[in-house]
Amino acid sequence: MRAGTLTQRGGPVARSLRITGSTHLMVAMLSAAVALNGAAAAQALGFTGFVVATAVVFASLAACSAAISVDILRRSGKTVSDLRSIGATSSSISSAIFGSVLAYGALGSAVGGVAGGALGSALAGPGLAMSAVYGVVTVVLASSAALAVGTYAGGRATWRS
Amino acid sequence: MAQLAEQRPVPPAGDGRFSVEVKHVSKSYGEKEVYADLHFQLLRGTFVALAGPIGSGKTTLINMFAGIERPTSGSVTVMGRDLSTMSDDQLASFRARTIGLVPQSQTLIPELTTYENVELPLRFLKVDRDTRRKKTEAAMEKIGIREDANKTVGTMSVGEKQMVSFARALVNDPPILLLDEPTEALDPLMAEVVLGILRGDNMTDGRTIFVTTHDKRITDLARRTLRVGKKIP
Repeated sequence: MRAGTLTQRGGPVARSLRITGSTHLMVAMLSAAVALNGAAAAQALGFTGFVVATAVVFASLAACSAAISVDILRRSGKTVSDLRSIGATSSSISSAIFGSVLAYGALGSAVGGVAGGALGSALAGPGLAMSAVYGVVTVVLASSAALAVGTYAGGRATWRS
Repeated sequence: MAQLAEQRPVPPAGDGRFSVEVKHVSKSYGEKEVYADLHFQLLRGTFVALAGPIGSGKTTLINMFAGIERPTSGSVTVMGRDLSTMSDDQLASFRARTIGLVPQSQTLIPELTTYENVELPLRFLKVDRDTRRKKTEAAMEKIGIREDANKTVGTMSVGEKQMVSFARALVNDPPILLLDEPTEALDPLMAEVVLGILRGDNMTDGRTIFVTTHDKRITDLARRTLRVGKKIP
């Protein structure tokens, strides 16, 4: 890989905020890890356990994406005011963060969810294939919703402060 | 506290409508009072220069015109809109449509290329891709930096950055251009390019130009010159 390739991705606003390929990779890997564990655990648990596992996945990724959103906005304070001086609104800046976190987070959680579902099925036995599919779909949807909610909440909290 | 004085009489020309109206504006930073009961107007389509010592509040005035800073009291009305009634987001959108700003401190994004920096205001205005490309290329052409389109701004000299900043200020064809010491960081050749643009721009496009400067060539060019009285203690 050519040096610097990771830092060249994304639109101009996202790159202005120093949202690089490394940021995307971090979001994707965190989402994958959480979704993998959630989807795998869901196969070995009953309904209540599955609900708890999904809630843990949601809370973890919402907190994680909110923290990332806050971090991006706070460490780019001068850039944000520079962008605002030429017409950027809070929503145009937030949507650059939102798009990056949601796209790469959803991708990571999908990969992690499928891997976790396969792992859970292998451990729990082949008879649970359909419930594994439902489990994976639920975990991936919960992950994506958590990323969206967390990023939005983190951005909103930072703009208010 | 700074005071404004006319160096030349206000010319009668212009269409009679004001681009900027400053009414009873006071501005303080804590205990330090920069302006008190400031009151004046800028006619639409005129070229006004503001001269005065460093630290006398020239940049503060430009920032209040742009809605970047708010007055402590009083109102600043730009193109008929009272800026004090607008939220931060409304001000940002209003700036994108109405004001071209060349600030004294660099506000370009160093990670982006010249083209991307110049194009940014149009993205915030949600201009379509083809129009963005045409307007961005036209603005770069006007300033003479088209060959630097793919150059990363972080690698440029201060003077080159100033030219990019100038192109970015013109890209949305704003009715008001605010320039804070535009020739200070430029070599003589680049300063001449800027002066040439200012001459032609004001004559042909009829926009209001407000410049803070120490450069006598710019004050000579202006139809009206204001002077800030003294440095703020």
